[in-house]
Amino acid sequence: MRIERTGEFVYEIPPEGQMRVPGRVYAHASLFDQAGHEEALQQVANVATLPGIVSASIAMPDIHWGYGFPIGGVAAMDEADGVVSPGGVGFDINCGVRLVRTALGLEDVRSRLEPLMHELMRRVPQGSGPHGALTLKEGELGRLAEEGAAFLARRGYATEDDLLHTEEGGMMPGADSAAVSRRALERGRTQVGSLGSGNHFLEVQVVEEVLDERAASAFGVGPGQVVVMIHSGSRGFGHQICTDHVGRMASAAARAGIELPDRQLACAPLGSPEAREYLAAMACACNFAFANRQMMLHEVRGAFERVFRASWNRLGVELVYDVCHNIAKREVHVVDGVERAVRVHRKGATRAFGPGSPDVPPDYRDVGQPVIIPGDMGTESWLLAGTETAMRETFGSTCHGAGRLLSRHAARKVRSGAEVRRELEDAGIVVKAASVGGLAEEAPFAYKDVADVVAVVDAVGLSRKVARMRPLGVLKG
Amino acid sequence: MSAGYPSMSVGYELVDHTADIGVRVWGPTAEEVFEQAALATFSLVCDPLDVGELTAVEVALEAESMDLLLAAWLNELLYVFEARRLVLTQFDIEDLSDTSLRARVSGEPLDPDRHIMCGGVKAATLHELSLERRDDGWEGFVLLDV
Repeated sequence: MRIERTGEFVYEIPPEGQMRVPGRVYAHASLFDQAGHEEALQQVANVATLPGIVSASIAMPDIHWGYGFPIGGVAAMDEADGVVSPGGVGFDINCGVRLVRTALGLEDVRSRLEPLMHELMRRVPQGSGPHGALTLKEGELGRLAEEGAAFLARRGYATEDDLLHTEEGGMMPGADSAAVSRRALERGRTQVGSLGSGNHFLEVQVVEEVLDERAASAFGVGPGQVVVMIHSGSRGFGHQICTDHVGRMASAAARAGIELPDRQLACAPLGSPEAREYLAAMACACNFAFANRQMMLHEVRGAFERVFRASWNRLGVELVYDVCHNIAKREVHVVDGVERAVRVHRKGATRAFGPGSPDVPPDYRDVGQPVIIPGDMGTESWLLAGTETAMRETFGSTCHGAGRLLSRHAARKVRSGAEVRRELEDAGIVVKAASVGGLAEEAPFAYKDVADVVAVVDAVGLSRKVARMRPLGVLKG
Repeated sequence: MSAGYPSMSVGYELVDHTADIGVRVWGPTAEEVFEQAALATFSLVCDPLDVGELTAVEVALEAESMDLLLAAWLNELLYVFEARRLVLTQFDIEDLSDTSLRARVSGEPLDPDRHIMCGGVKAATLHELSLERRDDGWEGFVLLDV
């Protein structure tokens, strides 16, 4: 595989073999020192072989070796002759992040941080076992899956303002619960309002630095302000939907005569029954994840009310925005001067629509869509804004996080969970975790420096730095 | 090593992969390889308490090939864990062919207050999935999304 540097932070993989388009990777030169980078770049090339892929197989600076698609991958497939691949979305469908602002400052929260984190831990279940905050009756999950966060609005768990500030309004179109297996419904029924395990977390953070005052002001955040970040997905409901469909698609791809370099790239032509069913079920999982994060926001509001003895309205616990980073969406983009309908796969990548886009809520439309980038536990996270450049170059997409450097196993060998906890506590961060071992797996040294990742997307113009946040308290899945 | 030591032992090994965890499994028979893969997966899900009675569940699966069956088996067990809330500890493969599997699996009811959760597993992927018969037994590889 040939790799050509075409810009300070841009690398091209010219088409060879079965590749239909080039690969394009936005990255810092240090990518080439990273373990597993060859496998990740091979995955970029593999995605370029999929039928109907438009322009390029793209990867963001947080790229790392995944299964099928690389993590950090973006691929737009033509709606007319392209495919949809469940592996290009992943098992955790609509894994995403929401950022919540408050009217509280660092001084208001510092002395109440321990009780606040305790209250959050009590209300937001972590790990893969416990029941979520919302218990649904038999049959109700299907409606939640079709309506997403809007289902919760009718129950008093979400406001109109919350829906407005969620990607897709918290309700992905095309969801049909008839396409969801009984197994997925069984797994999901008790999980709405739960954080899950792995790299999922809930953090109380403080805005440490504002780099774009106009955008920050539009997003309602300023220096010294306390915010909450929630990173979670569609739990077992989404995992089961992906599992159900990857198997079916492997056969569909074979029937359509599509040669796959990796079975996890299993796909089906858009418009085929397999693709239609997957997309209807995937939309249900997206809605489940929107509702899951919304239910956790409801619990966050409850925790703030209890600890600060005022209504959440008065405490200003409002949703800034909610973004998806594992998803395949139908979008219209201008390609070589012509509007084309494409299915944009974002696998560990975030939508970053620029100013003026009708899909950006009216109050943010002048500055671009908020993009929320969770850092690794205990360092920093970022709030960015979408740009015109992203619309032109990456189908309106940018990075999604820090990007792994060390495997979980390797991370555990560096330091124990107890040591990581102590280091975080020494830095003044309150830590609550379902699994102490999990703390080591998600420790800062296991990840690329999120500041480097954000610096690349800012430098190439895929998004603009708005604000940097530092954690005060971590609730770890 | 004693004279009775089998030419191929039974076991599993967790293999590093940047964002996920690979499981390499081996054993004299395909059935043992399936059981080892299940043990490896649950070692990443939850530590059992090993007290009280076990609840048994029957599992029956079909797939186009035996390696796809191996991935489907692990995904089925993750479903049983979440939907039936059972921390699975025993895996008895009763019948295994190239395209079908029948098994009886048992575990203890999940008690979130007492069980210690490990990192958790989302699913078994098909990336680099393999299951091969060798001269002295079977060897397989499954990449888990964790």
